[in-house]
Amino acid sequence: MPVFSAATGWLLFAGLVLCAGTLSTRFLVLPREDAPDTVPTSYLARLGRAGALVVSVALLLVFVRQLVEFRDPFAPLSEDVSLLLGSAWGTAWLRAIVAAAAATTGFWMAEGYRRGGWLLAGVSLLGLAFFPGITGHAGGEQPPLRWLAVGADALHVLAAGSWVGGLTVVMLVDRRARRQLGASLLPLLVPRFSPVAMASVAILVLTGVLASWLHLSSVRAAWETPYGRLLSAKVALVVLTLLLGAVNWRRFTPRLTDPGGPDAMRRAALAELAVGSLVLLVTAVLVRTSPMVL
Amino acid sequence: MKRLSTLAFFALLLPLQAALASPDVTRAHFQLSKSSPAADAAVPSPTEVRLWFSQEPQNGTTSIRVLDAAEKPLHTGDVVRDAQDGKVHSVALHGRLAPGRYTVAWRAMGQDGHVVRGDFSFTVTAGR
Repeated sequence: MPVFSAATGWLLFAGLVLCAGTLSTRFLVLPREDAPDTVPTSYLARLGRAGALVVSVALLLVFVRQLVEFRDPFAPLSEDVSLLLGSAWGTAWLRAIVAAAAATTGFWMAEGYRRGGWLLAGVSLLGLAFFPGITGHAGGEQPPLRWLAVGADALHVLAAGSWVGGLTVVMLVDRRARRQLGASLLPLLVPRFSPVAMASVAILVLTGVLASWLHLSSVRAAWETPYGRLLSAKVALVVLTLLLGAVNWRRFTPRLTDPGGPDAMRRAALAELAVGSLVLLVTAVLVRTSPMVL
Repeated sequence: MKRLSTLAFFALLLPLQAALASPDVTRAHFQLSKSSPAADAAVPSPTEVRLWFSQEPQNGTTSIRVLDAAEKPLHTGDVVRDAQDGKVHSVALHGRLAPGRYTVAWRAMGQDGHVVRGDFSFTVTAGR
């Protein structure tokens, strides 16, 4: 069950991050004037649709996970399903399922260049970003801190998406450009992606520090409780990802136009993404771990 | 120099997170605080089982089962949330319980979505 729980959480975060990365790349990274000739936005929309489908599947698995944990062996299954759907958790889950379906539709519309597709996908993603917070530790805070915590959590998800998801999308877009156009787009995209990544990191740090302050009961809890140790591991991995990102930015970005420059950047970005993926896995376990009081 | 300062900034993040953790603020984890009958108590036949949680569970997610020594669930009333205190939930027991050992198996979901469950036993004595 812990493996299934972690895998389900990772899948949910991976899908959310890919959706957010698609949207941030579409609106903040791609040069709008050149977009139709260089990277068709329909390709981005397809990536977003894949992310939204992953989110939908993950949400179904999240429901199964919650139901297994919720199960009363003396009650019929239908009764537990009904109780779960009737709870605040169930309401949030039902809304998330609707938002995931709307996001999938929005990206599908955008893929066919239909009006309003990107807007629908964006608004739906905004709603989806609140799901982990509402159904997690942030939702357990007492008002009025609850809405601050839930809002910060949603921002945290979106910022992680703009950074890690954005980098994923940039790499996928580059791979497609190399195959179809025979040229790397990294010299064009990376300088545009860097400010977005830096702004995202700033938001991640601020919202992360806020979440730590809210959920850690004491300084000692950072190493004396399972939650604190996981949080410390996450921070260490984030710092490692930041260091890799800083190296990419400082060392490889100025060499993008040199021969072999894009290849070096690609390898470095893949390392950054590998650690970023580990961060998502630790986060998936972290959100299922109770912050115990010392 | 710039690279050094960037490195120093990132290196500072870890202790910063810990240092900013709210100092010694007691935040109750969702759990069972007490019960009536109490765990391992020997009591005359009770009319209800009442549970006090550390936080208010999500509405409708509390289950309280009373099992006899053969682990067969007794027929009880529905779970009732206390009108004055949402952290308190109870079930009414129908009729007198025969002397013996009983187990209360409970489950509830906290506001943070964590499903918490547990059980405890009590003994019904022959006295009134």
